[in-house]
Amino acid sequence: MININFLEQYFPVLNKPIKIGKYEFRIVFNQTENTFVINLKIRQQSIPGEHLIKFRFGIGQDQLKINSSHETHKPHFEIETYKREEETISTTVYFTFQEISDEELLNYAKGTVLLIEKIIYSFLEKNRLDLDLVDNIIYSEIVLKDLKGFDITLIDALVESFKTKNLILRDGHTVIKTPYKLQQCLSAPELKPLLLPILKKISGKNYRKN
Amino acid sequence: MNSELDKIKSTITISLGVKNRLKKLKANLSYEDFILQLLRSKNKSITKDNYVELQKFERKQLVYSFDEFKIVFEFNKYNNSENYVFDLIITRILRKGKEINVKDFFDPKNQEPYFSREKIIFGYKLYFELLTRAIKNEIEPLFKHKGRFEDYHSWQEEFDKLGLSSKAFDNDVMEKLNDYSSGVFYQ
Repeated sequence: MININFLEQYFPVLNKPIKIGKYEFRIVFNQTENTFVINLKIRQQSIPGEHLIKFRFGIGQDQLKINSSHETHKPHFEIETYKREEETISTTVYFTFQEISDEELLNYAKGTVLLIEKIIYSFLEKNRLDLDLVDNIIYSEIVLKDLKGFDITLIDALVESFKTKNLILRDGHTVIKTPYKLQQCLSAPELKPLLLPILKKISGKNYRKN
Repeated sequence: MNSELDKIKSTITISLGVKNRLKKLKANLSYEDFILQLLRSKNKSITKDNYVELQKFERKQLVYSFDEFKIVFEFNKYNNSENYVFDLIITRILRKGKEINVKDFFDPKNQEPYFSREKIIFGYKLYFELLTRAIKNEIEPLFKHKGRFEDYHSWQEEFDKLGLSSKAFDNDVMEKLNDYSSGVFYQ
């Protein structure tokens, strides 16, 4: 099991909500003997009558769960979007890293931290929030300095995983093979810094920016 | 038949309520055939490696009444997915038929003394009461949470027992309990 504790230095607050405007950010960070998780969760404050949008992404490894339909005890990267309107639409994309060394996994964890910085920055920018507030959630300057390039390593691994293993749509055994289909599943504009490079690398084409 | 064991009849003890629900669902099938069908459908969804899951949940509304209050709340209709979460929110509060702003109701600075809601415990106690009612309505009519609402071990055991996912536990229980222990007022 890798030890991610040293990555704690990049976050001022862990596992607690940080409010900026009508949004709530939370860095989920935890390490035990057999599990670890680094997630960014962003959710719009839930106001009755208003729609809710939230999303979460990150890397982790859970304990073995016998009744689960996938291999929870293997390291994985997960992207989840959730929109509550008249009905709720939820999308989960789950990449399992099947055979992976501790060193590679640690590099992916570092890449996750850098992507968290990029997504928070782009989120604040898109929603016209004060960009200096990024440091309330993640220490931007030091992350960009220390972890430069690790996001590319992680994105390459996700692209490789998409190309070499089946990405199965749970409902009906459909296999997602084309970047277009993947883009349809992952249409959250907030996740652009993560999704665009993946889509670009899969096909070598430029993709529509949502 | 898969093995010699499949030829030996056995009994399992279940409550009358569960038996009645099974009876309704199985239609013309025998109990054994229906359980085998459930096992097959569970196995069907097994995927390894990578997956995408797209889910649409309908929202469901319930009303919780106490004293002079009516609390209208909504949550996702249950489906058997690992990504199912209740996502429970209060949409309306009426006091003697008059609407109260939900945000104001939980605002600790609000001077109108409905309850001792300046205490952080109030909002969370109410939330977990509503969650209990949602579980009763959607999954198990006899459900009762054991212990205090803060006791996450009990919630974890109960969610496991009900077949609810760890995602639901994290989202609907732990997030709220973490906020509570961090001193964040319920909203």
